[in-house]
Amino acid sequence: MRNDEAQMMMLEAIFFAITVVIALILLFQMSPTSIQSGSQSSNELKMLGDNALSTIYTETQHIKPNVGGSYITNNPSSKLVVCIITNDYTKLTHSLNVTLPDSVLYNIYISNGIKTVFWCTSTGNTDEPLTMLDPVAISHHPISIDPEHLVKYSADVYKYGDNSEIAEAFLGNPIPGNSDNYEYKGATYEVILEMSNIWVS
Amino acid sequence: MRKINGKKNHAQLITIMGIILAISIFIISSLAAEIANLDFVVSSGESTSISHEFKNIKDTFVKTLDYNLIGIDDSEKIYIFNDESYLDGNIDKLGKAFIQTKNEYYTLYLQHGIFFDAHLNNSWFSHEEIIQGKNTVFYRVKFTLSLDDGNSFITEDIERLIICTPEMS
Repeated sequence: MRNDEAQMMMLEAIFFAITVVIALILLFQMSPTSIQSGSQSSNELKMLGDNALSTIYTETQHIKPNVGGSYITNNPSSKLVVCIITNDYTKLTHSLNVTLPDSVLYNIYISNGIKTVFWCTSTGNTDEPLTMLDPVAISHHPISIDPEHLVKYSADVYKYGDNSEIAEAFLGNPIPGNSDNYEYKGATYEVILEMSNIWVS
Repeated sequence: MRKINGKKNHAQLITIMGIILAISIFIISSLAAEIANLDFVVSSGESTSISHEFKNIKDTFVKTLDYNLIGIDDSEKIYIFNDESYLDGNIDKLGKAFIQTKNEYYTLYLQHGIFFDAHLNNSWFSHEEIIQGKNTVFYRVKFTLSLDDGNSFITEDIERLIICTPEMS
């Protein structure tokens, strides 16, 4: 029976240790989470990116080609497509920045499933993509682009050049037998959004 | 307190062990509930993902088909009607343009681990009308789009209207 005292002390020690741990956990959970609330998990980020791309795709914007320009059929009416065709980095990044949380950085890529090219960053930089920090989320949205729309509008339609920036990357200037010179005749592309949070710890 | 009567320690022991047992059950059940909830969120995200992809494809596939139909041969004038404008294309090349479009989407979605498939089911004469002073013939085209990511499968029959000038059909 005297051993009961040692058992008692052990059990009491365990009991109070558990109580202290629970108190700390509750304290941690109740503490303000303002710094982390600006961050999203990879899944949340992907959902935000998907919704942002869908919203911009459904927004309407028209190209007004020069009256004297060549006849072009079926002009695009999606804001996302028009921005890509006309090299309008500012308008697209502004729309995305309005839709996405302030803490999100992103790179935009254009792909046809075989070849993927960098388009611009969330800061409007077209030289090189940002280095993404975890968690990284990828959103993508298919778009249709008539190859004619990349090169055949009048020069004032395209910002920064006489044609679309992606024309060279996908339409190319093919030389027979040289696989480096790649010509894509299709109309299927996708906009890829590579996103990451700025994490303040 | 405990030294007053050693036998009373039994009651204290049983009480404290009961409390520890109750707390342990509470913690385990809380953790189990949290893990179960986490699993639900992930699977929910996956299930909505493919439906989102399918909606995007439905929005863009027909447009791409239009562009590819024009791109195959733009020397012949046949007008495809959609909500926005008329397109030039050749109804005889519809099958070829459809396969090209299907292959492009297949390649695009394969890189995301999603299997895309499409079948051109039928195209048939619908009716004839005068539009903008021209005698035009309406055709209907029906096709099936499918998307499979290994966990979920979505398929849907889609129908659209095609019109062309009869002398060129």
